[in-house]
Amino acid sequence: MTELISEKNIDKPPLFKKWRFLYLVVVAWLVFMITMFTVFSTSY
Amino acid sequence: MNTLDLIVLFGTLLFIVFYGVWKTRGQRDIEAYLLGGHSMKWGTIGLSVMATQASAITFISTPGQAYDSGMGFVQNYFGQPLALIVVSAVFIPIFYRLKVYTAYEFLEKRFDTKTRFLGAFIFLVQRGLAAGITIYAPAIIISSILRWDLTLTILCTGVLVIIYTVSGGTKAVSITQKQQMAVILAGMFAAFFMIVGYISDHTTFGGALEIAGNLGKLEVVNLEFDITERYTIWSGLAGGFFLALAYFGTDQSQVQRYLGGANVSESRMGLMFNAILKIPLQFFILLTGVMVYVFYIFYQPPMHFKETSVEVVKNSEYYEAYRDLNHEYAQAVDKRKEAALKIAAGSLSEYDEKIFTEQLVDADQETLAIREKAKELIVKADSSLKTKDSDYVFLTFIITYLPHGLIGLLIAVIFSAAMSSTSSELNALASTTSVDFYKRIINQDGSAHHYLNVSKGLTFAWGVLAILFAILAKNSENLIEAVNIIGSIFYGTILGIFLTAFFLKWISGTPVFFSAIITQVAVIIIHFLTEAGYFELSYLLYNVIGCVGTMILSILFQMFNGTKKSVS
Repeated sequence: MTELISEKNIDKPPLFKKWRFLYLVVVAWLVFMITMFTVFSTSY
Repeated sequence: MNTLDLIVLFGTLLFIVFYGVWKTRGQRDIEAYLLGGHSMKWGTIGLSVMATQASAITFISTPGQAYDSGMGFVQNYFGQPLALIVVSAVFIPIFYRLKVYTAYEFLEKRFDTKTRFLGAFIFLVQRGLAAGITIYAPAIIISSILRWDLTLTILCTGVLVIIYTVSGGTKAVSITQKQQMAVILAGMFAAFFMIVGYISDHTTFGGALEIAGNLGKLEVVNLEFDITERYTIWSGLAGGFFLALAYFGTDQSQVQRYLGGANVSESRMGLMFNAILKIPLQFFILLTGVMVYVFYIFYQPPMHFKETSVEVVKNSEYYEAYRDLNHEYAQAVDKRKEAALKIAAGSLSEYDEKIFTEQLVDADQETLAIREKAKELIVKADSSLKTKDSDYVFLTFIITYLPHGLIGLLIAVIFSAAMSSTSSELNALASTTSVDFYKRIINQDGSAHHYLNVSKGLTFAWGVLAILFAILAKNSENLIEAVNIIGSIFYGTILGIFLTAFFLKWISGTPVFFSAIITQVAVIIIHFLTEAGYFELSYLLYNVIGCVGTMILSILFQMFNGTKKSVS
C-alpha cells in the first residue's frame, strides 16, 4: 500500500495498471465484507 | 449534564473552531480559499469526505435504526465502493484536466453555458434547503433531550460553523473535519466499549451477540430478490451505486473536498480510503445500536424514548391507561431479561436452550407490541405528535448511563458531525454561487482579492440563510422527509447530465439541456401524482427515472437533430 501511495508510482502511463490493481483490491474487499457479513448473519 | 460535560463539550468545539481559524489565516486568493491551494494530502481528503457524508443524524439515527430493525441498513452502502471507483477513474481526471473550481464549470466546457447554469441552479436549490436541515435535525433532538432552547442550539451550531468556514474556506473545512472525525471516532469507540462493559456484568460479548441474533437483530445480508423488501443486497448494490455516484460525482459539497487535493493521486487515494472504510464504520455504528438493544434487555428501558411526548400523555386523560401499560411493559421486560440470563449463563441442554430462546423471542415480541400500544396512546393524547422514537434511543442511553465527561464528549460528537457537514455545504454553496454565477455573469474581471471577499461574503450569507431556514423549520415536523424527497427529485437529472457528458461523447449541449428540463418536469409531475395517490412509487426511484430519462432523451434528441459532435 505504501508503494501505491508514493507519487512516483502513480499518474505515469505504465503505472496506471497499479490503479486498476487498487480498484480490484477495493472490489475484493467489498466481496470479502459481504461474504463475512453473510457468515456473521448465519452464525447468530 | 454537569459542569465537567459542559467543559468537555465547549472546550472541544471551541478548540476545533479556533484551530481552524488559526491554521488557515492569511489566505489571499480565491484558489486558496475555494480549493485549499491544491495542497491537501489523501488522509485529509479521505477524512474530509467521510466527515462531510457523516452528518449528526448518522450518529443519532443509525444506532436507533439498528435498535429498531437490526443491521440490514448497512446494505444501503454496498454500492458506494463501486461508485467511488467510477468517480476516481472517470470523474477526477477530467475535473483536474479542465482545472475547474466547481463540478458545474465542467458542464460549460463540455456542453454550453445554459447547461452549466442548470446544473448549478439545481445544486443550489437542493443543497440550500439541506444545509438548514443539517443544523435543524440534530438541534431538535438535542434540545428536546437536554431541555435546551431550540433556537439557541441552532444559533450556537450555525455561528460556530460560520466563524471558521468564512475565515478559512475549503482548507479550514478540511482541517477541522480531521479534528471532528477524531472526536467522533473517539466518542463512538468509548461509547461502544462502555456498553459492552455494562453488558459484561450479565454476559460475554459473544453471549450478547447470540441474544441479539436470536432476536433477529444481526441479519446483515438479505439475499432475497424482493423489491418490496426495504433493505436487500440487490437494492443496496444497485440503488446505493446510483445514489453514491450522484452524491460523490456531482454534488459540489463532495466534489470540492477532493478537488482540494495536491494532485490526482491524492484525490483518488482519499476516495479509495472511503471506499474501504465506509462500510466497516457503518457496520460498527449499527452494531453499537444493537448492543444498546441488548443492554436494555438487562436494564429497564423507557417504554417510549421521546420524553416530551410521554409528558403530553401524562398530562392528558390517558395518564392512567399509560401507567397501566407501563406496568405491563415492565413485566414483559422482566420476562425477557429472565430468559436472556438463562441463555447467557450457558451450559443448557439443547432442549432447555430452545425453550428459553422461544421465551426470549415471545417476551421481546410482547415488549414491541406494548410499545406500539404506547404510541397509540400518544397519538390519542395529541394527534399532531410523531411517534417514531428511534432517533432518541442512543442519546437517551448516553445521558442516562454514561459517566460525566463522556456525556460531554458524545454531545460534542453530535455537534462535530453537524458542523462538519454544514461547513462543507456552506463552502460548496458559496463556491457555486461565486464561480458559476457571480464570476461568470456579474463580474468577470475582478481581482483575486475581490473574488476572495465575494466568496467570504457569500459563505456568510449562505450560513445566515441556513440558520434562518433551520429556525423556521421548527414549525414543520415533516420537513426532513420533504428535503430528502426534494433531493431525490433533482439528483437523478443532474447525474444524467454528468453521465451523458462522460460516456455519450457525441451528444452536444442543447439536446442534454432540453432532455434535463423535460425529465425534471416529468419527475416533478410523477412526484405529485404519487402524492395524490394515483400510484405507489418509492421516492428513491426518482433518482433512477431522472438519470435514465435524461440520458435516453438526450440520445433521441441528438439523433433527431442529426448532428454528431464528438468531444475528446
